[in-house]
Amino acid sequence: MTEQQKIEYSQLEVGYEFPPASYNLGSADVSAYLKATGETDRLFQNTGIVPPTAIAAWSLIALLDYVDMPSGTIHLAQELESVGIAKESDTITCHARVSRKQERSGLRLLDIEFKVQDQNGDLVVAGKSSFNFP
Amino acid sequence: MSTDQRLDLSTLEQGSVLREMTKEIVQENVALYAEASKDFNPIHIDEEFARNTPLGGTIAHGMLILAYVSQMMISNFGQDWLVGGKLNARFKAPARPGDTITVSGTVRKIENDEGRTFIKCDILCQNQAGETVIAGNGTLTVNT
Repeated sequence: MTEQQKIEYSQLEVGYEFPPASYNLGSADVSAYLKATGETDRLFQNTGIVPPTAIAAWSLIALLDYVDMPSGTIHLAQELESVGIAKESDTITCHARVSRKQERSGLRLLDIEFKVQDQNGDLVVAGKSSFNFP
Repeated sequence: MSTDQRLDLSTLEQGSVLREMTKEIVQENVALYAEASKDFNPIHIDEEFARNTPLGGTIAHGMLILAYVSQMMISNFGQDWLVGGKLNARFKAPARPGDTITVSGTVRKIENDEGRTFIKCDILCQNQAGETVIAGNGTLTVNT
């Protein structure tokens, strides 16, 4: 999707469903994530297990292909539920929808709920991201 | 902190304090996180750009700090957290390069229901000045 086709806050409505976004959990990407976050727990050493926060982070970035989040957009809150274990080489798909849109007191709030499934359709991560748009 | 020893869930009670974790925020790590997460918002990685915003400088990604929270929960609860952990976090203040972030948690409530145990924890991330960066809660569901 090109920059010009991104959806602006004013165009989003509650219930809007974003196009599903798929992502392969490559070992290089997972290694880079573990290094960047300083994750050294034995659960992630040579097991191929992918941290749920990595899946959430990549899912959020996938949304940015569709939503125009201008400079000054603030990530207010994050819910994250780790339901199952994703592993390297899995292909995950994020399904996201606008669950709340509210304008009050100069705030322009938007909640996006998402569910991430693996290639078998098993739920791996679910969550909700809350933003304030400028 | 050793990650080889998980909490013994049978010893937990209301008020139990989780093993905390401390992280230094370094610009190089923020840049590494930008690469890893593919979040290249200049507020995180472009110091000149960030200086000219109301924030006055670069800040760490909120999701990086949330990763530290998840790490703290995993270090305490192990794999149980990966298949039954739920975080609810509010980003209260930015974490900046040079900050030292302490991630802590306290058991607020333990409930048992139909073969499952729900461990509800208050979670806090504070910088070296005691300012809250993230406040929230985490719930772990364990089949017992």
